[in-house]
Amino acid sequence: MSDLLTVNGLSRRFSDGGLFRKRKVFHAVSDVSFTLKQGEILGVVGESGCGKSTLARLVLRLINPSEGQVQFDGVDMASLSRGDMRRLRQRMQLVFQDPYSAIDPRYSVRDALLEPYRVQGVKPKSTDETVASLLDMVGLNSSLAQSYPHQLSGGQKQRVGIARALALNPSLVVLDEPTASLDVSVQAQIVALLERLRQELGLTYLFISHDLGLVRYFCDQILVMYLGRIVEVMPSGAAPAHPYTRALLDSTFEPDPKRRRSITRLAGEIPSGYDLPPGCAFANRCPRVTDLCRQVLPTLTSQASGHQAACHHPLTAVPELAVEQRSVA
Amino acid sequence: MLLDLEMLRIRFGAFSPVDQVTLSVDRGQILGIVGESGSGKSLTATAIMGLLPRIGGQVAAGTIRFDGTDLVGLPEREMRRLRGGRIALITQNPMTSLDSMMRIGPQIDQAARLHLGLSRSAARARSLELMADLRIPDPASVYDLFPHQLSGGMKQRIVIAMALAGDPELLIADEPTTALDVTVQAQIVQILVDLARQRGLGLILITHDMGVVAQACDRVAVMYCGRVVELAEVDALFEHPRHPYTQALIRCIPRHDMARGTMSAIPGIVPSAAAQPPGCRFNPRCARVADRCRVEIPELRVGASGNGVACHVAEAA
Repeated sequence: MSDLLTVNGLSRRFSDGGLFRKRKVFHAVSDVSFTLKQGEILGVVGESGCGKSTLARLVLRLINPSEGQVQFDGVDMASLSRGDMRRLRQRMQLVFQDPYSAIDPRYSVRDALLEPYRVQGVKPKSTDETVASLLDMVGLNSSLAQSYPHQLSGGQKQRVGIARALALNPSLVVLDEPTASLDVSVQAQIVALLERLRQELGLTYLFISHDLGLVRYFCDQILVMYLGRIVEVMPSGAAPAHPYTRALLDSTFEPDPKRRRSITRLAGEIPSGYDLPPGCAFANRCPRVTDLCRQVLPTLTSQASGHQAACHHPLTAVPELAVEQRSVA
Repeated sequence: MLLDLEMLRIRFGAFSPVDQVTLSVDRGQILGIVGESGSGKSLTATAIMGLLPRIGGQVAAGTIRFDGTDLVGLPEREMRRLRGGRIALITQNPMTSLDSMMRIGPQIDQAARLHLGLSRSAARARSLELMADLRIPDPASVYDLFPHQLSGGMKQRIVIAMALAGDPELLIADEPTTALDVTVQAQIVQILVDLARQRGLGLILITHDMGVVAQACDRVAVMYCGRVVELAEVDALFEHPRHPYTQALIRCIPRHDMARGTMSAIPGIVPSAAAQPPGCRFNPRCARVADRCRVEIPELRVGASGNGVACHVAEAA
């Protein structure tokens, strides 16, 4: 399959303060590169402040990067005129985390579903049929067309959000924590729906989540982010090489009391993106930290085919150490 | 038993969003109450804390026995002595418990001064000790900070320290980690588990996360639409879930060893309190529904083992 999305050296900084306070620079996304093949599901996982939502918005060019390029289907987005960019947007859509705030409360479901056509200046053949077929596609009854958001459950609202994203037949759908505000039983429905739609419509997903368990279940390839940088790129079935990914995995609560472990030893919390340490950003929490880590920023290096980690002391490189690490953890 | 709820019914006007809730927790034991939104798990906690009247509700039937005393109908004065003292609550959002205008330390001191009658300096010493126990770095400086100067995980630790300051015997943690990052969530759950084990606290852990239940709890009450549908030891619950809702809930958690597309979902949605179906409340979503389920509400029958299930089909099996 061909590459649908190529991201190269993407960075975004936000500056703060200025007039009365000292200007501070926040590094939201730093030097991110990856490719997403047509038809693939790429997961982006990390904790709050790791830059995953900023990355989503950069990829869709809802915000401009400080550095780096995003190529969509071979076209560098920075080279496009406003009009061309708007037309390109038909092919890339975003599904938001919070379906409650993503839909205007004064719009009926019908209005919300027709909004993309209005914005893009595309006229659907028959509005009633379009609305009915979009609702049908996401498993909602067409009688809901006249409902307003407050009359819908969270799951129904998220289905409307997905239907709206699919209205203009996009190739790429960026899903920003699409199930984080839903109940588990509803989350499973939405994940099944996304899987079905991907197969039926040949969609490509960039799936953003804080839930490594869900990402490992749903995605082909996973990017793990920490403080704006990719720390690991791995096939979803692989054992983690970066200690941070290992810690994330050890922090997820497996629904099996037989596999109980003393939960985690990862101390501390994520430092602020304002003053990043010179070396590895994870150094202050890492069980394998050495002086090298505090001084030199590790770069992504290949661990196995399709598997890269940005770590001076990766877990799988030295098997004995990896085993010891696991028994400690 | 430290706490024993029997056939609790909570009423708000014409609605009974919680009914026939039976569960118990002993000292040193961790009981998980698990359910989706609208299952009544937080209302149950509110009832135990005696705070229902503040939100316009009341206990309409049943008993809440704490260390032998029925809390239902206990005068507010006596309830106030227990609340924050022998019974403490930790909520999902630490800022509901913290006063943003007040320094951290004195907020922790309050419970010890009020419930244990400690002097200002004794309370301070105790607070610093609790903060150190909860692995809050540099307690003496954190003591003088304001809440906004702390991260979410640190605030939740402060709230736990506040809950412990009154020397509670029963601790109710209502979704204590939902607002936190995964790695921090694991730290907080570990702290709560250690507290129950080391101090012999009875801990009620309210959560929607079956993973937290599996990793932390001894016993579990599964709630659906205001009722306990299954009560069991944690191992039994995951190995042989009896209620179709419990079975479905366990199956819809993603696990890495599942192939994509094999995770099953529960069809339909949780009905609102005003639109409860007749009969078993799970029947419209249940894969094993029988005619009887549509008319007759199954009762939770708790056996001598303390385990039970409220399901016509599971009981027949």
